[in-house]
Amino acid sequence: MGNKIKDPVKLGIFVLAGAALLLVALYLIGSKKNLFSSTVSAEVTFRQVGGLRTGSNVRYMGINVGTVDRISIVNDTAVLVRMQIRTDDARHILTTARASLGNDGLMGSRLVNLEPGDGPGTPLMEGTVLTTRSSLDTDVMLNTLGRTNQNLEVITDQVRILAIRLNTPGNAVDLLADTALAQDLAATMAELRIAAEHARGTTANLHILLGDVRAGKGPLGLLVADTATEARIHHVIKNLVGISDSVQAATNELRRYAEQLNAPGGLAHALVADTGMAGDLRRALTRLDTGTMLLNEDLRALQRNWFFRKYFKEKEKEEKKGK
Amino acid sequence: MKTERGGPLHAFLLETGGFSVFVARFFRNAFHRRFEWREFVRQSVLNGNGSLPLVAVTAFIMGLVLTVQSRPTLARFGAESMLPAMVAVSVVREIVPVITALICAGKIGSGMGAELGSMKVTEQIDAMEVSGTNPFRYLAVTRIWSTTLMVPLLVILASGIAIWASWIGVNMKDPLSWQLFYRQVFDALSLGDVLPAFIKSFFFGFVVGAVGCYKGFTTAKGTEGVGRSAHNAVVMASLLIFIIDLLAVQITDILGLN
Repeated sequence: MGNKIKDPVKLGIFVLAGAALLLVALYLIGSKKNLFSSTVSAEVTFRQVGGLRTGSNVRYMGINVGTVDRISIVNDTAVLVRMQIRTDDARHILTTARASLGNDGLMGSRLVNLEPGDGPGTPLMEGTVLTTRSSLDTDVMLNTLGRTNQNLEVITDQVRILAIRLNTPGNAVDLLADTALAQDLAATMAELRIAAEHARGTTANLHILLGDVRAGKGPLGLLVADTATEARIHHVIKNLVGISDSVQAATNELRRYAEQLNAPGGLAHALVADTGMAGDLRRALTRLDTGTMLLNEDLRALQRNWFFRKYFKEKEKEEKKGK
Repeated sequence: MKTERGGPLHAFLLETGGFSVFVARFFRNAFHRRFEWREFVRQSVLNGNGSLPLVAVTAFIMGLVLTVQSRPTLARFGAESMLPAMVAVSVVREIVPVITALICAGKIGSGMGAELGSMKVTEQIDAMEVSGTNPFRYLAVTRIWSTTLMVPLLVILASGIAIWASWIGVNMKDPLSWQLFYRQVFDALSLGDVLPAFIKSFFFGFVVGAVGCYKGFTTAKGTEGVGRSAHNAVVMASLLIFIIDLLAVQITDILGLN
């Protein structure tokens, strides 16, 4: 008896659970496809739809507002797309809205994007025809990529030729492969670095010096900054100019005197250039030497004279005492 | 090809003919006024409620494993955000219906083959006929109706469990709210995904019940035949499930639902 009651209850729970899950799933899927809400249809014409399918989403400002209801070819340059847009959302979409084709993410399916247009408009009505807006199209991107690839091929060929030329012996690449040159360059760079450091130090010192000079410090600063010193310097320079003129005049006098001395008949000219005078002088000196010798003999004779003998003896005694 | 008696082709044709006759006999009795409701409810509880734990565990594992296994491939393309959508479509359209049907073929089909085969070899079915009860209507019709209706319910519940397990699988790496997950799932699913899968699961259930009952009713050669019937029921039902799945894919493709 127990089983007779339990079996239908168990079965009922099982069936209800399954049916409820199915209904929820169908409702969620159906509501996404606008099966349970009123819609407004709008149309737009594209040159091509790039894989758009019936049931694809329609988005307004990034929000799903409807689905594509029908796609039909009008002529060889136009495809008509009819969209079903939920009435609640259609109230916010104006007739000036513009449609473009887009993707749901990078790898997602195609969809129609609606964006607000310019100027005033009225909310969407049944059968409104919207204008289109060109958008970033993957086909166009691929075409551009194709052209880029062709350019890249040409560039790659040229780079290959350049690489072959560079690898040929006797090219600039040899310089790059020369280790001695590299070492020299490294040493030069090190020297340059040291010189640069010195230059930097010198510049810093100069900077400090200039700062001090501007501040009036030190002799140079005093010269540059002190107005009294400047006046004195002006005075000194003025005196120097006078002295210079005097010196110039004295120099002129000396030059004239020297010219007179060096002129034929002058003393210097006679001493330097007159050979006759030199002979006279030599003879005079010889005679003077002879005279001196004779004078010495006379003086020795004079010491032995009885008149001066006493004087010389006393002088000799004083010299001995002094020693 | 061999067509003489005892050859494989002859056996195949005999099996096909016998099964066709059995199915026709079912449809003749399926809508009879005197329907065995009590037996139908008993069989439904046995087949539906009784199979739910096994199907639920399998669906949970399938959803989790599919999610975890698919993530690296999608991550390679930077499309991890498509994981819920991909798993949901795979699970709902194909994996859960087929796996559930195969589990039912193994559990229910073999059980029917063995149970009815035992009744056949012990002449209980003959006894029922002698006592005035229609054994086909009592044993076969109720069981076939039961599996035909219970397998789709099992498929629905298993799909829900697999999607829930997929959410757990997604959250094992990156946190994702249930609300965003189920929105991504139902954005990806369409009626073209759900309805064909739901409809074909009725056929799967029918095949499981019909093959199990057919093998049970045609059991011969004693207890050895009972084991063979159970085994053959599983093999034949599994094969027919795949054939029906193939046909369903072709039909949905023709109807533009893929």
